[in-house]
Amino acid sequence: MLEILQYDFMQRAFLAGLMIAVVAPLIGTFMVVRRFSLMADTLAHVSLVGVATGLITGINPVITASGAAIIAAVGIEKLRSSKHVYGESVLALFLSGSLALATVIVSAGNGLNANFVSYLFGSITTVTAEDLWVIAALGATVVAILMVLYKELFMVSFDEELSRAAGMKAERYNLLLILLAALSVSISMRIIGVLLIGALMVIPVVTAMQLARSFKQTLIYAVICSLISVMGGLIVSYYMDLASGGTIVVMALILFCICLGIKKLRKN
Amino acid sequence: MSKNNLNIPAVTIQDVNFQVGEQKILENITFSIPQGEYVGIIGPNGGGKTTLIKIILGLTKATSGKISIMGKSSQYPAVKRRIGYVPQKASQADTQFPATVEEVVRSGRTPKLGLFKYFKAKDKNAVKKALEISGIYHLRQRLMSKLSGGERQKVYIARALAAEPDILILDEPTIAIDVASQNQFYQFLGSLNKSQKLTVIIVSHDIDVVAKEVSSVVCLNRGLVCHGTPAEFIKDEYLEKLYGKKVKFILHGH
Repeated sequence: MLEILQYDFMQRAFLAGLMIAVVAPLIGTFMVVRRFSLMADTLAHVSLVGVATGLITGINPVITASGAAIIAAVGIEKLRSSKHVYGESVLALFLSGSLALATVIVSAGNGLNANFVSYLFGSITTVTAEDLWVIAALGATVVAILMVLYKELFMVSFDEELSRAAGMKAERYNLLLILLAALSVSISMRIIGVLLIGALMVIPVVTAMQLARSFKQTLIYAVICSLISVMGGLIVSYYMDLASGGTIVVMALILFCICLGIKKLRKN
Repeated sequence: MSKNNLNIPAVTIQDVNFQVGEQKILENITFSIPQGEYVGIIGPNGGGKTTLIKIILGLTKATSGKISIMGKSSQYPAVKRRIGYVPQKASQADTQFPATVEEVVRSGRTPKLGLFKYFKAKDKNAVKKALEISGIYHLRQRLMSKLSGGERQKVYIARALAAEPDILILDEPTIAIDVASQNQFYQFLGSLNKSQKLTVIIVSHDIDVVAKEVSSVVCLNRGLVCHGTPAEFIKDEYLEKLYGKKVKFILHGH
């Protein structure tokens, strides 16, 4: 066995990383093509409220974070479709508001501690066996829903107006996409960290779009890029003692630059 | 594409009114379109053409009145699926969307197929036929971002045809098509109308070409100004009523 895998915590980190690397870019692709790229970041900040609540109450923070992100997802979609709040300022409202609420909750409890900080930047040493089960269950749910409703989500993502004209309830699919994004964010935060989840949902997708020649290829390439980034990032962060989230995202950015270069070479 | 009782009109519009606040956009619109017609809806900008189309499609709710599609209320999703729609923005659609022509055209089958069902041989054949009829079969593997405005327009038409609709509605379809190709485009729609036995409704401001190609004309300027054959419509009294000043109809070839 590789030296890196002789520790239980690294085995758990790799398993969790593997699942996140598949789930995040799949849902991320739909978010990017719908121009919801900032949604993941917003939901990530909202999930911090759940983390803070979980740390104070002793409930698994992945579960409380999922709850907070789901409630916020519904709120964001309602406000967005009601058009009471102008454009994407609804995202700014939730993003900064939830960060404020999270810090208030944490300071009212024990104050900022190392555990809370590990959720901000991600940490490979903190994945518990219970986390693994939660990540596996939620991740499988997201992937199963995406597979079953692929053709509907594709159509609504391509053109919402056409979907409505054909009698489809586009608003329900919008809400579903945001809910799935909320779940993906919650399961990714252990390893990637709340502040960097958005990057894992967006960068591999944008990278894939440089080379892919169809929507299906975009999904496959995005998962491959994400797997390389997460696995590579975990190995590098272990040997060089770096924050896992940051290392993973830097790996994803390097891949993006390589793919952009390949695309330019192809053109020439 | 239809196997319907031909006596039932494709579209029936009954006393439709639409207003935003105090502003009346459409007033007492009543007319019907028989099956298999090639109809042009024309009128000045702001005359309510696109609004009427959106009401027919159920995208906008009429203030009052009734719409029937093939004899049934347009409220039902199954009835909506009998219409293929090509929106005004088709030629300027999202060019970044990373999908191939075939993926987009296949998505036209999605509402017809319903939830939890996957594309089968029948769907693949319908997609192939729609691509061939629209003359873009050779482009099927190409990304949408690599197409010209005119080609994207045809993808939207093929997408609508893939669902095997009874009625095809196009909103200002020639906006991004160069003048030289416009006649050819309207003739292509005419051939669809005949060969596929499809009711084709186009919204256009191009009176000249529309009058030459379509079998009947609906003129809208908030109210219904006229509904009849192009020959009836070309009379100056209607043009004046429609555009509010002396407008002469001069036929010219592009």
